[in-house]
Amino acid sequence: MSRGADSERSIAHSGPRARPVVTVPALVVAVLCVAGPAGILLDLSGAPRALLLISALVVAPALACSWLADIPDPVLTVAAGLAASFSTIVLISTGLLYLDLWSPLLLTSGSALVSLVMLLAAGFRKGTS
Amino acid sequence: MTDVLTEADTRTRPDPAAGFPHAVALGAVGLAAVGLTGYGAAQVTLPVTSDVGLVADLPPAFWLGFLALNLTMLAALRRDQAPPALMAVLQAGLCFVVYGTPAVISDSPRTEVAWRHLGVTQTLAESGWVDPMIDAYFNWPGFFAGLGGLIETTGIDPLAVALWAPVGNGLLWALGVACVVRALTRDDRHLWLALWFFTLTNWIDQDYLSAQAFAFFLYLVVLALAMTVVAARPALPLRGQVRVRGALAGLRAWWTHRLPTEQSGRLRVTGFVLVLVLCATIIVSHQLTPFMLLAAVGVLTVTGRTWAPRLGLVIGLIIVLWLSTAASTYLAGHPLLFVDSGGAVESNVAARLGGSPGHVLVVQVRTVMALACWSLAGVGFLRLWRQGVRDPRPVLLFAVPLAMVPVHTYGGEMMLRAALFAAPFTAYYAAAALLPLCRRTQTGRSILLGSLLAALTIGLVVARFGNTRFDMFTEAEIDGVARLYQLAPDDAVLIAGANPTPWRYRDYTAHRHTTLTDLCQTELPDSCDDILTETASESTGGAMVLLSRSNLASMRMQGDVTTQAFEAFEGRLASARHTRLVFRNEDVRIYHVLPLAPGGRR
Repeated sequence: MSRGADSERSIAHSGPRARPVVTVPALVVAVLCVAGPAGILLDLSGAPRALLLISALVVAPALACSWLADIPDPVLTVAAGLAASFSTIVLISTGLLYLDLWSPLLLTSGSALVSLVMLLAAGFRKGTS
Repeated sequence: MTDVLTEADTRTRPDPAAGFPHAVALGAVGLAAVGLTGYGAAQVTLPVTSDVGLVADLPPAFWLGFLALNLTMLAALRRDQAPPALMAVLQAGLCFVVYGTPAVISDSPRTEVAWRHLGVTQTLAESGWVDPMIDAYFNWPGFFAGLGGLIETTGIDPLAVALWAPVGNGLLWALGVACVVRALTRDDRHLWLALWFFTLTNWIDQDYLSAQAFAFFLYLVVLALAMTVVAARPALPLRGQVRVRGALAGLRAWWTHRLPTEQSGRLRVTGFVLVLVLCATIIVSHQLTPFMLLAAVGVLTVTGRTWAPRLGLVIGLIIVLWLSTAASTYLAGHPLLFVDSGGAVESNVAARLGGSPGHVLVVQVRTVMALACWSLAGVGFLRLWRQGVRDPRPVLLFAVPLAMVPVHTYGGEMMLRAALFAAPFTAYYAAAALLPLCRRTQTGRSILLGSLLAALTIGLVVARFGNTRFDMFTEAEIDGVARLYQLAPDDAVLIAGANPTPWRYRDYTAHRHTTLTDLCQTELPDSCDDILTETASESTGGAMVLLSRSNLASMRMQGDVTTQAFEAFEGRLASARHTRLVFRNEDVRIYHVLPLAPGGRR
């Protein structure tokens, strides 16, 4: 529960860090980004569809955002990741409605695109730091 | 974060592994207590039979479980260092009990608004575009668009989403409050006590499936980011600067020389972008929260507590942009802000104080709960002040929502909304007041804290579930409304007795929906018959009038009508030549009022 390491972590942000560019969460995000739209195209139904698409729409952007933001506080990391996921869904859905392009496939693809952009940005930054 | 007082810093930290069996035992007891409350709640049968709500119907098993859960938390708090996993499990258990009890009792979502929001969501998802002429929801459609997208994409049952939304929102709120409190204190005991207090005093009942609940979570995350990664602190003392440079120049120097709390510039920028995205989501989703957000960010900026001085300006610009484009249809016919303060007080306070003795008691308990929480928060503020913790942020963020009350009536709910937005900081300060009561060596004080938690538990159940006689619907009422939609001719006006009706979840725009309380005001006098006839004649399909158990309970409990007046009205309606009873079950009657033909004949 102690957050005594937070200050040390903050200092560490200013210097170069050796980290693998590809991590397990990054791979999970990448897989979900492909599997989500694929699930729609394959017309999955029932529990598998719900499980896969909730993961693609909620978990993938949350993980990508957490990886990109790299917030020192783990609780805030989770909250910000979830908030970013919900925001992605809301903003893309709203945009699709106003553009008269409403479709689950476009929503899932848009969310996957946002996740991939965050993933690439995080990977690029971590690789160059 | 130099303002943070760290009582935890002075505590010795024993080996966590030494208390592992104890923690596991406490966790097991906590889960068993949650199970016991669930078992107790499952014994309740609908409809709720008392004007004070569920408190009269819940069996001893529920109360025993709730008491045991409180005592388990107290025992965990008395440990020198409780494992976060244990505390999180107990907190999640409390959220399940507080927000999930109605879902254990009934398979149907509670409150009419949750049903209505499903209808808004379905309308957007089915039409695939936004018609801002429909109503206010379609001027701030973000949340409903997102919900519709999620439901349509994943295929999950919308009714299940609405049923369990309070538990999901409660957990998200707890997460958001945890982030906010962690920005203010490093004392874990303070954190967990604040979370417990927040949940145990949250009678405000805004956690149903709604844009408000969703926007409140985002609001908490924005505040947490603004108080951590985007935060700043003044580098120079204000008094010294004013003394040396004069008032204006001193103030300017004090405000300009801020130091970012977060050392990493990249993290600050990332946090800033994230804040903007979340703000945009709030602005497209909800009418009120953007203004609360703007005010909160505004005070943080003015007091030099944010690294991004133009954050408030950017949020304001996005709000103006949205209001002048997507929400302009609604604003053309409605005031955005600013009503007279007398009207605000009338609609927020006076209008809620009437009704049956049971309902008045519930309102009084709510008032006492709010005043007691704020008093306790005042004690906590003084305690922290005496200890040298003089961070202005929590007190400002507590005061800002309450200062917004005279600005808008928000349908008579502004006081409730303001109390909700102030609640995380109320909990922060109240927990500071209660901290001395959970020391391991002070058994007497712990008994006092246990008694307080027990009293809050009873107060919460009365205040939160005080309307369940009319906002929890029976299966007969759900079936009756389904029949209403099957029987209603195209274009018919649908009229319910009062708002608490589980309708509008379908055919949101196909029919005009209204209520007798809207058409006739109170007491349903004889003139109401003529109004009904005129309303039926406005459409070729006439009017379908649905009268239900919850309608009568709502109108009677809130003092809108007596049972005799309601029955007299229904007697006149049933015997009218132009009306026929088309459906009846134990809780619902549906009448079809035929429209007048040209010349006044039917």
